[in-house]
Amino acid sequence: MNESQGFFSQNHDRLISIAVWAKYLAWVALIVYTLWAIGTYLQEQNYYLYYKSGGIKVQTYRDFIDLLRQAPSYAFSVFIEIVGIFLRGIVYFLVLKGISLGLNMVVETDINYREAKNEQ
Amino acid sequence: MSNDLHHQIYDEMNLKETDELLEIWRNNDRFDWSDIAFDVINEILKKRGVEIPNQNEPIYDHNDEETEEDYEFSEEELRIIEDENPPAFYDPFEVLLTTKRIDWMAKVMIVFTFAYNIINFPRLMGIVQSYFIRNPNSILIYIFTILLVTINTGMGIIVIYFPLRALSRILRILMETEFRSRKTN
Repeated sequence: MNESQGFFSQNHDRLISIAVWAKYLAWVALIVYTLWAIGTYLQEQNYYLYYKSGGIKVQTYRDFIDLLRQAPSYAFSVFIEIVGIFLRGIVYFLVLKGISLGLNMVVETDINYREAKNEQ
Repeated sequence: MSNDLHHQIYDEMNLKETDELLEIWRNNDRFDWSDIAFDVINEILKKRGVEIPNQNEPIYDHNDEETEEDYEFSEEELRIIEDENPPAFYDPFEVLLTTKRIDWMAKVMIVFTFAYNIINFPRLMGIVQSYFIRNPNSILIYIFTILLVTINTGMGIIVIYFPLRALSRILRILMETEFRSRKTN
């Protein structure tokens, strides 16, 4: 790879820039989905407050945490929904990171072969 | 000076519960606690009439960074990581770590897909029930719902698990190809 600059074409440059974008987008995806997961929890909490203020039967629960404690099936469904969003974020993160690494390896391999060919 | 320090440590340690002292003693973390502290703990525990348990291997350093030793890499993988002519555009350790995480995530997604579909069972049953208005207690409702949940779970696993596993394999193959291409130079 010492003489890699000489073998670096425009296509390599494009691939590397896509790889860089993918690497940073991976983090963006992870952060966005984490925030989305937190937002979903807050949204459920707001629904509870909304119904409570409307005088619907949720009045029997002291607060949102109490509702989650006393209604395990509802708590589990909220948990699954939040975990699902978070897991999706991790999957996108890993896929984008994998794409980034894969593109970098393709470029590296091609340059290695070009170097080897040049040495012959 | 040394005596003062010993007294000071003794007074501080003596305020701790026996369980806490036993935990510190067992953990044997020499990075967080000095040798004098261990002598003092020993002394306090003996005074309190507690049987002194065996200590774990001493910890001299808290290295939180992930290294190749923390993972079970194969010999071939270690050869690629520790090669003296490393690649310029990527880190092989990062690739292997990513592939391991992808493999792990693929398994997690199977569990999640199962849980998600079990949670959605009543909703799906409601949909199926709407087609059996005249006979709402029909056994067919359960059969169709279970069938739908099974298909949904299977499809969910196929759509997520296999692409992730494929990505992991592709990355490993690309890394090995790149490694071999380096050796041709």
